[in-house]
Amino acid sequence: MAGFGTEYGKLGDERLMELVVRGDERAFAAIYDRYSRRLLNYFHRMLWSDREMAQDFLQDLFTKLASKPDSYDPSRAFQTWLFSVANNMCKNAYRHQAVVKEAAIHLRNGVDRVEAVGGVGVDREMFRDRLDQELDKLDPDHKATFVMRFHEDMAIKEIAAAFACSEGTVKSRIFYTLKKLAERLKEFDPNALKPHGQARTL
Amino acid sequence: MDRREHYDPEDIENLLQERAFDELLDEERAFVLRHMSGREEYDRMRALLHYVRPDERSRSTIEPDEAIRSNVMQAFQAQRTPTWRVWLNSVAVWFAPPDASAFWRPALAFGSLAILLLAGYFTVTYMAEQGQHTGLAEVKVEQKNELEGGMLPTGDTASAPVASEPVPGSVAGGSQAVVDAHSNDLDVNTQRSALLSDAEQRKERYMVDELEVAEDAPSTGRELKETTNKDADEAVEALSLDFAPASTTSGHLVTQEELMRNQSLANVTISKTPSAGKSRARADAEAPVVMASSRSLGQDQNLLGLVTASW
Repeated sequence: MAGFGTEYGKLGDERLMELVVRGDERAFAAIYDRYSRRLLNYFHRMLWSDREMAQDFLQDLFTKLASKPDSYDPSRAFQTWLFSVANNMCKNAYRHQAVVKEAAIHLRNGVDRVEAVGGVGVDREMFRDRLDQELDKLDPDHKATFVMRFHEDMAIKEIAAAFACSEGTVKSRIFYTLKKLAERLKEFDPNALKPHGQARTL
Repeated sequence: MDRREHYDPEDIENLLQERAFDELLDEERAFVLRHMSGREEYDRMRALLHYVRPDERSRSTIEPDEAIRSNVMQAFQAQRTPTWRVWLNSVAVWFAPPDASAFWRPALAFGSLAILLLAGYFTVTYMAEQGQHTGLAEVKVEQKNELEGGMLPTGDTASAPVASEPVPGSVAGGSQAVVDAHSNDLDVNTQRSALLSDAEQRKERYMVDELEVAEDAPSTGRELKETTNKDADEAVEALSLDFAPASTTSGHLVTQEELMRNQSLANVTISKTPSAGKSRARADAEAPVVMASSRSLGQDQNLLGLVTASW
């Protein structure tokens, strides 16, 4: 157990997991507070922007962690291990809900969309919708790699650890995903969108 | 480092992120053109990459429900339940199973088996006890036979006059002497034990009276004590001396084997005496006497009755 006055927020993930394995409830709460939002949005992106499903998957993931905290391999980084578990859950969801996936692609209009204001906002939302659609068409591993890389801002090394593959594989997946998306979204001019005022003149 | 490794296809992301197509070196541009159709594709991918990364970061995030947190924490607390509570739960389930109706058949089978085992155990135990009682009864019968055969608990071999001093030529008289000696021994032992117990009681009574006298008159009490103790000791010694010869002479147990051996020795002595140094005719003349004595031992009903009673 951690001593009195221990600031759990300053402890590393692996140290927190050691405490969780010993039954420290506050350590488990710290882990949840640290990763719940990220994992919820990851599930949201991976599971066709289905908020309810994402909430369910988040609860399932942390329930598994609560029931079997010793299933965590201390030799691995906790973040990559946690995302690998989440990714496997998403793969199962893809595998068992292929039909639902197809239906969701066609029924996704209006799901978790932010009302666009102005012409640029409308174009941006349209671009996001198209991007999500094209991502859903990709292989789950490529999509997950893309989301981890650009949405979760994870390093190549961390993604490779989460997928248990080489860094070259991750880089290759990112390259071909960008190439496909650029081909399929070529009707959108990123320079015209200027989403954050950072787009450069080509 | 080998430039071939440095410009692997997967590293194009770095080139897209860092440099425009015009900023690429000749080697880098040649490498990019091996994997892309041309400048247009490179520019499109670069624009997408620059747009997607901040756009992904700026996407509105959703917050997890508080109910999820409470549910997960409850799940964690449930897993942290003390083991003794889990054990108690299992015990309760064992004693009161939710679907008890499904257990009546195995319960009946196991109950029947337990009853059979218990019955078998008690039967075997009872039989073993019966066997032990039978053995003890046999031993007691043997001991009783030994007592009836003359093995009285005395300790001197010189007490059997017939065995120690056989009278040649009068076997019937010797047997009668043995029986008389045994009866005398029994009577003497009974009298001796009665007298000894009486003397001991008298001694104890004297010692009790001594205490009472000592309370009244210490000096006279001491004298009376000496006198009474002396008298009691003398009485006990006198009794012991009176019965000492009897105990030494009649303390031996005459067994059946000794009796038969003595009888055989007597017969042999009688039969060998003539053949040792006398003529054959004289031995033939005395032979009927030996046969007559042997016949009288086997045919004398009184002697047989006494031997049987002594056994």
